[in-house]
Amino acid sequence: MSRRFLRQISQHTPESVELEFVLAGIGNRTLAYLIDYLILILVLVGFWILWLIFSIGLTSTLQNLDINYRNAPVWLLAIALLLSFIIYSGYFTFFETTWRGQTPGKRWVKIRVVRDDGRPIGLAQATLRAVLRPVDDFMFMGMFLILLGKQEKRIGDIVAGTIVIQEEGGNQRERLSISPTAQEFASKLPELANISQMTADDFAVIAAYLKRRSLMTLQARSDLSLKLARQLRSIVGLTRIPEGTTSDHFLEAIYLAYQKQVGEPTSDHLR
Amino acid sequence: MTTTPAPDAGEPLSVGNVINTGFRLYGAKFKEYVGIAARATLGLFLIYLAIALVVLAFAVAELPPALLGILIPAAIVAFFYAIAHYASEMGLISRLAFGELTAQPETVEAARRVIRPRKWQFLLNSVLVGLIFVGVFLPFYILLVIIIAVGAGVTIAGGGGEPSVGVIAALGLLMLVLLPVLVVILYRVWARLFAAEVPLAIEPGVGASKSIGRIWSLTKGSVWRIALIAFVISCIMLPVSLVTQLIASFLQIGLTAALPEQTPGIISGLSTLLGSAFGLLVNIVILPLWQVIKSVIYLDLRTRREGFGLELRDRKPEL
Repeated sequence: MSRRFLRQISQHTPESVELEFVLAGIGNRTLAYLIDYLILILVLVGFWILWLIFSIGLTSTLQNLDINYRNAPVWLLAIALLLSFIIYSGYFTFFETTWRGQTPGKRWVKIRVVRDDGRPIGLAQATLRAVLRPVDDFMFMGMFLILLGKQEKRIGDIVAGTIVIQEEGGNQRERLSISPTAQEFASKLPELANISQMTADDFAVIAAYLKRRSLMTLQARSDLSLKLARQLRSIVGLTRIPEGTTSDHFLEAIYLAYQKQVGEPTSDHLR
Repeated sequence: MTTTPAPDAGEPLSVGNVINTGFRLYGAKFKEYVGIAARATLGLFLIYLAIALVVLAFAVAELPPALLGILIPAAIVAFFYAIAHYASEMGLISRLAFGELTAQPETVEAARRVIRPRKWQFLLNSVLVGLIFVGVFLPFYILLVIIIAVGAGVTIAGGGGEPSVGVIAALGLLMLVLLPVLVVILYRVWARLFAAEVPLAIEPGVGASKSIGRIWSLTKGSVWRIALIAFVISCIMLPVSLVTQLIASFLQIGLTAALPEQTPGIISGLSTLLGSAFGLLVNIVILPLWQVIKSVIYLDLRTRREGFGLELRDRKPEL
């Protein structure tokens, strides 16, 4: 599907290079937020249980020591609240600093905090964002700012000078499963057809089909395979097809042959 | 309008990007979509008001029974017509959104010309979806009745009087197991039928039941993703509904303060009216968002399951 509807911004780096970013958007940010808060709630519940056990133990010890411990519960509560806030803010500061702008939630949804000029954030930015988080959470202010703002900045982002962007797919090349029939066919293809007629875009479409075909419905898959094979056959001018070659075999073969002839194009269409 | 697909057409979207796309398209076409929803909701409201007035007229005035013979069928037809019209207008929003998503936008008039004749199919579609849910729920209901009957039987067989603790505990435990199972099943079915009317709105030659079949096959293996999308959107909408509720209660407080001498009956009546009008308004604003999201999900499902958008570009004639 088209990514046209995702909000893009371009920023100038200090070296006056223009960088294009796809902003994380309300969907990714809410999802990351929910994941992070789920983890935090679990951690905090664990902390309070441990603290309760510790407090009970301490009180009974103090009881045996026969000293005045009247103020101890208040202090224990105060320390617990302080530690909770440190865990809450520390979680975001720690991860965003050490994971270059990512928290577990952000990593899961593949988004990242960077400075306005695209540089990675440091401790200062991460701390500012974390400390201002309660302000953003109050009355869902941050969410409304992200929804309505052009750069999707919550108060923490405005103050720290950061934006949240989507991570580029990083072109991870998966190995496609290619049948022996197709491999044999591929070796003969350069003599039978004019593969150089294929464009990088054509190759990207074929690669995308081969990568995703296993998840398609049977009907759609065979229709699409046949359609692509027919079009491609006329593009490369292939007249004779060996017996027992299916359209999928042909597509696999032409994928291999093109790769061998041209080398894998540096196309970012395959994400 | 460009007909050439974007270079990255045919690429599936993540959960977050489905939501982003939905929100952005909704924002860009806010006036158009909310306008359609407003008129559709108003139409529904007016028809129901008319039916209610007719019923009221019969209750108050003595009208000739012959009139009843005409008015009752007319009211029934109007009732179903209202639903059919409303459902088809919701489908219209999804259709328009799909056109935008695939870079083949239609005008409202052109899209409506396609949707209008399918009005009754939309009614049938929503009735069928309702029946499927009844079908899912009914076995549980029957099971529940049987369990309670068995519990009662055991109690009576044991000499009547108060049911024993053991029986109550056993019944409670059974419920504790059955209820989550029911919730999970209902949620799964809901996720699979969430966009049941969208193929009917978009594809040519797809009727009410075929639309359900199509969405059922497309959503196979995508249940958790759709459920997650719906959950995250609900979380985003939560503040919106909280804020609107806050405004509504402020209005109520203001009303109470402004009319101190009035009888409480008038105040409560007025605030109920105001509250429901406000609820209607919120619905009008939020519904198009869900219709847009349905279209984004539908397109994404077709991208994943049918390779929609995977096509070789037409080349220019060779020189």
